[in-house]
Amino acid sequence: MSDTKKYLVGIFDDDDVLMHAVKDIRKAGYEITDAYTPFPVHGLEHALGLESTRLHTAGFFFAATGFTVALSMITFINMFNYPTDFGGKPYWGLLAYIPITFEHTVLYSAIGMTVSFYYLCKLWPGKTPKIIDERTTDHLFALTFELDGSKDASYINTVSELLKKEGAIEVYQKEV
Amino acid sequence: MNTYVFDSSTKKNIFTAFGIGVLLLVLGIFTFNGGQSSNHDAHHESEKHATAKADNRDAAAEGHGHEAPTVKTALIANSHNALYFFFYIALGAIFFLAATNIAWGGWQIQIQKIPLAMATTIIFFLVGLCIVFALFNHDLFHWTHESLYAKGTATFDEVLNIKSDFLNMKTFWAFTIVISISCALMVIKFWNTFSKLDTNPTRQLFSSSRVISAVSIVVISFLINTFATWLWSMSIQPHWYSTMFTWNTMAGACVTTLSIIILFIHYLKAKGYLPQVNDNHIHDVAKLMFAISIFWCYTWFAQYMLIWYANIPEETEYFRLRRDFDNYGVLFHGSWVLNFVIPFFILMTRNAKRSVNITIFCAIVIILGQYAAFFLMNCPPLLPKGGFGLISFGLLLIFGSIFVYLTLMMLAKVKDLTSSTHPYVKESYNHHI
Repeated sequence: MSDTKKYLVGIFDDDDVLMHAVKDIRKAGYEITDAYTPFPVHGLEHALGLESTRLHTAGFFFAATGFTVALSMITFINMFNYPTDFGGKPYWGLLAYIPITFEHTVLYSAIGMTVSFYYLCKLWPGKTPKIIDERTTDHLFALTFELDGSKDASYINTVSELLKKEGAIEVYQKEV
Repeated sequence: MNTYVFDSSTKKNIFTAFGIGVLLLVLGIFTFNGGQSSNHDAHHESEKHATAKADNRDAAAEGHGHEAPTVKTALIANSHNALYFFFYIALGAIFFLAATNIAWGGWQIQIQKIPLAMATTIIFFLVGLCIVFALFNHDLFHWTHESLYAKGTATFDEVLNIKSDFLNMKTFWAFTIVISISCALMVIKFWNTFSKLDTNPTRQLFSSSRVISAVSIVVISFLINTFATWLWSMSIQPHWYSTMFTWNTMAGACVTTLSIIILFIHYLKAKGYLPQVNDNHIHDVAKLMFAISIFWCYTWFAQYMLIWYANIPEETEYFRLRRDFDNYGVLFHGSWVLNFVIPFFILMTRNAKRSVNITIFCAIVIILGQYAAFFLMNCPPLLPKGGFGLISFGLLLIFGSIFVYLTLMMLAKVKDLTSSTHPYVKESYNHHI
């Protein structure tokens, strides 16, 4: 793969230590790229300063699409394409359309959000996942720092020292 | 600062609200015209002389059908509605306590003295309702007239005759008394348990609070909520019934209770109480408010659509009386906007649920909307041509100020406002979402 990136990785074995490390490192002015944990750590996303997801905004628009599609399609069929008299009720019986419109709204937002979520996480069938450290899926925690061209050796040294001081059990560089 | 002090400025505000309520009520009584035009009277007279059973139904659906609604009818209908509304708010408070405690809830521990104080007012409103039922049952309930059950006469009503196995005065009073006693018992049990937990917290008291909650849930759902709605509200229009009615009432009550809890939290925080209650607790209450207003809309819509869709003509009477724009159409559709559309779109985002002003605004909108919804459940059969006006708002303010006064009075008797000795209070302090 050509689009690999180089990372400085700090491995921790305790979530409390990790939380303190994240807070201290960010206070010292170093940007953490991401954290990998075997289970959700409460409050870690705030400590990392991650932007909150905009997935729900997308969900709203998917829902609005589903709503519009369902309502306009039923309207088209029942009023213009194939008008049918159901017990003398009006052709445009909005009440009867509400359950189907609701289901469509939910369906579109659910499928749309699932697909967008996979897209945002760069997951799709047949994709080989990039794993920083396999042990983060089991019992260890990892903090990563992306090493692009602007990061020199002194940066790597200071961050490594800082990580070790904060309680990292391992610090290494890895290209994935 | 862990005991609430009912200060005089708050009392003055409540008395002012009460005074405005009385003023509106008096104004409403003098300007009352029954929403009736002379044209309608003539139509009504001709209907009265027809003796077919079908007309009997029609007359029944429009209350007593013999005369134009008088001020007395309007007062009785509105008082019953306001008392019933606040009775249900207090019942919603018991339900909140029971539901959160049975679910091992931790976040609400700091604020649960508010619903506890609200729940105690149920006794006042039950007494009020019983007085109304005892004195004015013929004015409120069409089915209490003996002449409906005399076979062979013009007033004989076959449908009501069949229903009279359940719908009779004996059943009515039996259930009214049982409901009153069980409400009072639940409130007293909750009050005593939580008071003891404040002074002397033991494991045994904590588990008994959970037992009371479990029993209360069953009693509220299978006894109080069902029979109170059937006998006290749905039987005002005795030919009509709906299985969604009870759900709808309870959902409306719960969302109103949550709105009032939010208002009390903001009030107490503004006064400097509840120091550890923060955005997260407000967020949780607002989330429940958002969710239950959707649930209310769901039952409201389901009740309407089942009848509309199933082609049951005799059931459409309920909506003919409420949905037409020459009587309650504006209120009917307006209550949907107030109770669902506004809270749904405003409370949707996370920031809105954590904002003081937005939650206060939505709470007030929901309280007004639910009052209108309760009015539409109870009053249209008695006031068929409109009657939501100054009398209704006056009585809302009068009983509302009594409700707030009693709640704050009981809250002042609570020794430990934030339940700081409850075993789960730490969870409430650290609540974070």
